[in-house]
Amino acid sequence: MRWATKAKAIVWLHVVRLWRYKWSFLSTAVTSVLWLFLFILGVLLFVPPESQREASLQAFWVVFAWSFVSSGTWLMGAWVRFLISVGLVEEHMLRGVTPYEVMYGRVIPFLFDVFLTTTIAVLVIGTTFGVNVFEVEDVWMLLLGVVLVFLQSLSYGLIVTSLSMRTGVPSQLLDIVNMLTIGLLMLPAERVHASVRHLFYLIPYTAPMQLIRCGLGGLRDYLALTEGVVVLAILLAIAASAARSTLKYVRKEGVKAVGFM
Amino acid sequence: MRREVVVAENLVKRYTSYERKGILRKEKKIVEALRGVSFTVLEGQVFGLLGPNGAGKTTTVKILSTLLIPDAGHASVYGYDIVREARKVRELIGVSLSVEKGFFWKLTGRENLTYFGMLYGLDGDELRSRVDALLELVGLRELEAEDKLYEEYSLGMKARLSLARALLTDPPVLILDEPTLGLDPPSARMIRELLVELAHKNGKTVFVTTHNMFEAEMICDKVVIIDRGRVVAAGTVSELKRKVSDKVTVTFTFVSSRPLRPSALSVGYPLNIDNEEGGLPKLRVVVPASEVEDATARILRSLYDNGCSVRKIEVKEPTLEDVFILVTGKGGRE
Amino acid sequence: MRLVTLLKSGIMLDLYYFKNNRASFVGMLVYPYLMLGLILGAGFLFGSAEAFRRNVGLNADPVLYFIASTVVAMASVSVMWEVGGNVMFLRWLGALPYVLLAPHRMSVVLVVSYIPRYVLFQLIQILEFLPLIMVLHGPIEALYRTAIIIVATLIGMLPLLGFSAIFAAVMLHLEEESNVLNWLNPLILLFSGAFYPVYLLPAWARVVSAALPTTYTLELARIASLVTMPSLGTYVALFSILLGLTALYNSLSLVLVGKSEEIVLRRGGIS
Repeated sequence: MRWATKAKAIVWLHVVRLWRYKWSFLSTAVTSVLWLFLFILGVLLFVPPESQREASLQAFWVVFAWSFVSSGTWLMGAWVRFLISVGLVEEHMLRGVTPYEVMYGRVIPFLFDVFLTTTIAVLVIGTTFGVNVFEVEDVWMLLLGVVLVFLQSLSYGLIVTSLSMRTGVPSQLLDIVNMLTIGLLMLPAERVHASVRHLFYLIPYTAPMQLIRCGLGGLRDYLALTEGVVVLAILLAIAASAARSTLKYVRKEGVKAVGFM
Repeated sequence: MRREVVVAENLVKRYTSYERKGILRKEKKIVEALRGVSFTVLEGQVFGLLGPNGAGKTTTVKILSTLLIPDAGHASVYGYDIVREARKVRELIGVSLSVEKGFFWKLTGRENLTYFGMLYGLDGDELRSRVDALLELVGLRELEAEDKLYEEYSLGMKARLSLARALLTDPPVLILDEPTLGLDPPSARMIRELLVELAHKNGKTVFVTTHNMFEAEMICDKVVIIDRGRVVAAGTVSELKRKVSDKVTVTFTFVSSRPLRPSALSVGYPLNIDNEEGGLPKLRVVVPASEVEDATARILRSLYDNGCSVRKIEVKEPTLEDVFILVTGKGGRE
Repeated sequence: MRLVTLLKSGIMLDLYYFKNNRASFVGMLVYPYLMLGLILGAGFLFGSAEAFRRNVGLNADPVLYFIASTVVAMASVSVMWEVGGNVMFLRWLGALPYVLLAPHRMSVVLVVSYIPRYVLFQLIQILEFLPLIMVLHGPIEALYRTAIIIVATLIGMLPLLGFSAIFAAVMLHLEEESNVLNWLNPLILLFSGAFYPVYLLPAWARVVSAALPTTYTLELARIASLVTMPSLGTYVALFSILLGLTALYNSLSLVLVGKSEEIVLRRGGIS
């Protein structure tokens, strides 16, 4: 039952750290929402007043989906650089714990961050525009979208983890990708020509976001559902393969302790 | 008569910390890091501040560097008060607080020195030549590390760069907190030799902290030992050793054609001769430290007169570590 | 002469950083276009330029409006982070004591070493948009309108430096590993009306806006987007307010930063 003790240790580690860094988490969540709110206000300047309520509702769900992407990137993928820089990857491996096993515990701060960001977004957007963000027509479709975006973000996080251990991904690149993701999340699939929509859904996060929109509006999009699952499977396969090859690389070449500041 | 460069009088420093006693309760604790520390450092001296971890060495360093204001007492560098005239003091000192951090990771060694040089008022050719000279002096050029990123430096290289930065403005006073901590023997030796040269040849005043007694013994002209915020011993290395014992043990390893008895040697000191099996015989004598030279000469003459050929002479005197253990009462609270 | 080398030290630090960390330099060039692209892209996707002019109540070019807003927003973020947030970064590196040992007051070191970097990098960011503005408005008008934005960001920096030095004084106290005050940046931009006009804010928020230097910098920069230029009086009023705020915040910062430094030196929070 060694795996049970291992899992217990990893969960305990992340819960304790979460508590110690609670103000930092709160600050980051507030900051993220405020920045996104700033953008939303700018975008809403282009929208006629009669459509602003609907647009703000859509904006909330973009923020919600994006919080998963951001957590996957920063709280998982980029966090391994901290682990490397303080020499903890080797300390874990000495005791038979791979860095990926430590990363699985990052789901705890990941979900906490999403919860915090969402709560603050509900408060800010809900009170500013007087919208009930939980007015959903099809809960199950929405939930499917949420689960898919969560799992796709997790997979992305694990891929970034592998990259960080082998090459050191510049944080600016992650920032740029995150910003581009907001753009993708904002683009409704209806605006993409039907002939290329299946290609559009192959971009990570686009299909789950479409499912969330469908949940809000009571629509169905089985193409988005199918392709969302396919993309998830591809991401998981890439993450698993990258993890295996990175572990082999690390055992042979050591961990790259390259500073990121 | 050498000038007094660094003078500390009754320095007191207290830190307040809070210990969590529950979810909402915190208990206030006052830690007295310094409880009236006084010492004087003369010009051109290598002055060592010794003590175990938590003794107050780093607190003293920060106060002298003007990075910490004492709660009581005074300190001055070349007569300038470290609190009221901090800016003047900063112009006279070069500081190294840690050998392994304090630089920008994404800059090379040369770029780091250039940046800090400018920050300290150097520029143009003067800065360039100063940086070149320092990189050469601390051996980073020899290691071909001057244009490598700091993040790629080994600990020894980091220590050298830290010393180079302390020397950027060619200050008359160097304040170094454990400058050889964690270094391999060649790097540590290089730093020690350099510090002694800077003091004895270049006339700089070097204030160094360490808990490595052997290093202090090697390089320090004067030493102060502090423990729990108080000075427990002060003086030159020899003066401190005499606190432990004023006697030394001299051992002569010799070759003789016939067995030698102590009574055959009339030297005026109690002797002991060991005839180890398979080894050369050894004569041991305990003499007062002040008479060691005279006694050694007399015993040598006596051995030669008895047809012996001396192969080795060892003088064992108390070490600074012995002094430390005596005055602090611990084998190392490390 | 020492101030000159202090000015140079700041610029050399950033040049070395970008030389050794190209991704950082690429990021600096790409961010403004990304920010602008996101807002304009989403704006035109869900709305129109006509709706923008109606909502804003001005006859303004939305592209230039948001270019001006983006440049000022990024400039203000840069000042707050590079002056205020720099304390946190230097402390993390272990370099804070060595910066403080420079023969200048701490506020002077943090602020003065930042000025040339600010000027150079704002110029680069503004000039990045010049080709786009030329396509939209022709070369002569593009130069004129870009000059307005440049002047606005340069003058707008003056009160912001003092404001950020106060922020630095607070960061000295906090001794936190992560920047728990980083929500202050977007909050200031929200109250300043970074991406929308201040007069759309509720009354209580407009009171806060009036005290923020970025509010007036944004107003000044956005003049570049107006189809019809305002009267000279508008420029004079805005310049006067900015200079007044410069005097206020910079004198406050001299007092507060000095006090903060003394408290932290007593407490031992420098390294």
